[in-house]
Amino acid sequence: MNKYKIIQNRFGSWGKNKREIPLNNEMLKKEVLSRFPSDLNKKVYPKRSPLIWLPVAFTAMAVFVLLVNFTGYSNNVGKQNIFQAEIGKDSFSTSDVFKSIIPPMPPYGREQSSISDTREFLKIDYNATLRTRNVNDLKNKTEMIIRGFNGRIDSSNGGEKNGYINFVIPKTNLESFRIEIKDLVGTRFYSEQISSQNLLPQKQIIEENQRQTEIKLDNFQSERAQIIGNHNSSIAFYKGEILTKNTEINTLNMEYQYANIWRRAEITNRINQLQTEIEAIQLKIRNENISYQEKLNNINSQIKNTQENLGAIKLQDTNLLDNVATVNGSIYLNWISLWDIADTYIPGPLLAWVLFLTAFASFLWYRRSMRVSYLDF
Amino acid sequence: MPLNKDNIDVLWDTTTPRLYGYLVNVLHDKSLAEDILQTTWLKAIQALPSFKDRSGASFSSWLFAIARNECKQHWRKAGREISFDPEIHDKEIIESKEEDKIFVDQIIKQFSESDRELIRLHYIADLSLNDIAKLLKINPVTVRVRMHRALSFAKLYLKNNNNYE
Repeated sequence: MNKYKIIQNRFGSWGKNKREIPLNNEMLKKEVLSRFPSDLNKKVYPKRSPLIWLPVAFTAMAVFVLLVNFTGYSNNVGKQNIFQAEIGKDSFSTSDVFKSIIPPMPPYGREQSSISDTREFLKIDYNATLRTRNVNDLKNKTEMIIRGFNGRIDSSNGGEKNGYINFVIPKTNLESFRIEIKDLVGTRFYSEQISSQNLLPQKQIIEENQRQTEIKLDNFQSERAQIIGNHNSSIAFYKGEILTKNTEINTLNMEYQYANIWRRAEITNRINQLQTEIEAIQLKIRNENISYQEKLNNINSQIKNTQENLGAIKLQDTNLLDNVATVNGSIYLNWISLWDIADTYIPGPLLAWVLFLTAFASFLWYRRSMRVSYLDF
Repeated sequence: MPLNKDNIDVLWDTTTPRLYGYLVNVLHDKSLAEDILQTTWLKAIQALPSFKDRSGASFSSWLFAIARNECKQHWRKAGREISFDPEIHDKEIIESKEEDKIFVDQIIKQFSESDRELIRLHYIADLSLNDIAKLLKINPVTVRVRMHRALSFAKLYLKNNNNYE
């Protein structure tokens, strides 16, 4: 006999032996047959499960969320385009590093700048937002990085949910600093805004002030020299006149010994007249000295003030150059929930995905319940 | 055969031994098998008008589909399938085995659950391979291939155990 047939026979025999009737077969049969329907031609429609509305409802909600989200997104994109167009009209050139940044800074004093002056004094402001599950830990790490880049922390604040750090770092370290900060949390949880502004108008104003002040100082110094010169020539003139009159007095005194009585009276009168004139000249000299001293003090005071102004302007210039060489930054630290983390990784609104999944799960549930209730195969 | 009260009586007599044997083999519990047998029949009777509208399916295979669903529902409620434990379940199932039956029982223990189900449905329930394909919702060719493999495995097993007559 074929071996395969033997196996089939053995299985067949095994199957037949397994068949049996229950002990209370008759009772079961009676019970079942008593339920036999009187009218078999009556149409029986499967009972519609209310669960069918669940997937439909969840799908509708998901579509609604998607539509609302899409509408909101479109509006935002439209607004953003308008905003960028407006920014584009006014934007001024920045280095390649900062091309991705929208500068929201007002175009301060740009109208006065001549196009022929192409110098750049870019002042950079750096703002970043980091999202994390552990705000305090991230704050400490960020502060360490700022100090590691030779930066200075101006103020900081930290809590369980939020924190911020205001700081200054050298401009030359900005690029590597940004990369380091980004690596702390990853690109999905990092957003930044870097704005730059050319401080050329301020620089030009400072330079113009410096030039005007230097001219003013030169003028004062010339005026001072002129006052001194005038004074010296006036004094020399008066001293010359006194010398002449004293010489005449000496001559008259020598003549006085040999003169007769009439001549002596004339000499005395002349000497008295000359002495009166000398006294008048000496008075003029005193007045000239007083006037000179006043003028000199006045001009010296003006020169001193102008020199102080010039010093202040030079300090402004130094401050501006220092300001340009540094970056003012602020980093905001925000706590992120697990829902937000999931939302970050999933394209589109997370709620819509959850609703779609719920709809699918409820559909499967519905199918299973229907399969059981229809007894279908 | 038209479905009426008299014919159902005959159908009960012809189908119940196969159905009950199948349930006992699946559930390893005679009292549970009786419960599910009764439930299966009641549901079949209740849904008989809808079966009348269906064409191309035999009543017995439809009945086995209901029985399988009932078993699944039972396992779902119980949390998991309870494995056979002779201490707990009916002892007489394994006490009165003949030599052939013991060998087949040993062989089908080596099969996967899906292959065991094929063997049960074909040899205990006496369903044709096409009906089994419909019942399990798989291709009839697949059923044939799997059945052939199972029997080839059994042949090899018996050969290794030197048990040919």
